[in-house]
Amino acid sequence: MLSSPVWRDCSRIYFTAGLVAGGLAISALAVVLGSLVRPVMPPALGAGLIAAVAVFVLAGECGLHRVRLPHRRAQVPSTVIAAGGQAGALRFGFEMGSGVRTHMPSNLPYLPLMVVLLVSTWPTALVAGLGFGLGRAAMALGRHYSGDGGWWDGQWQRHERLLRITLTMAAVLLTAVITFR
Amino acid sequence: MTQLLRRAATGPVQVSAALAALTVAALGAGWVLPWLLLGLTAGYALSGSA
Repeated sequence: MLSSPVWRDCSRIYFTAGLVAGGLAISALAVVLGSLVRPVMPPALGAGLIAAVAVFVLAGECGLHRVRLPHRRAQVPSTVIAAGGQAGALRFGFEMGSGVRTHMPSNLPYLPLMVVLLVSTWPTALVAGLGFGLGRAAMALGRHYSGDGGWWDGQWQRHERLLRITLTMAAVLLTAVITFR
Repeated sequence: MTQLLRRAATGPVQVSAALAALTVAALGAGWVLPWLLLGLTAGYALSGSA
């Protein structure tokens, strides 16, 4: 992906904008769906469900199980990139940012999704969606601006388990703060 | 030197450590930072999909 035409010159800006737009779109969808659930769900049940997902995700990242929640088991189709320079980059970013039609090597995105579904408001959901898109962009931009993609990949692969556990623990802590404050 | 600085600012270990540090700082913050960081950490954790 990162060596594709999407990642060249000004297409980078469109790709990043697409990532952010995708994150915002999926969070908007989640908050709308959540508005159907939140009024009829006791707060304690919502908090319990979020806690259960947090434990499940953390256990998975720690290697205690290998269950993967539903996701597409392939990258965004290359036909999306073939759609054209800036439009293709924007759409490719959108699909990656929404997380709906792309491979997800971690269950962690299900945690903010549950939090947005069950305890968010419009402003908080959009901020989380913005963060999700920026987080995906940070990975791609970081790799690009490191000046050495091979080094970046090596660092990620060498420390992947530790990095995933660190990021998951941070997300679980933030979830606890948001849910139980 | 420039390459070292680039790596220090963009490496996955450094960025993940910064996110963890920001998480601790966000514990006593208002509502924006925790929600933003929740999205950021989840998005960044998908780095392996690149």
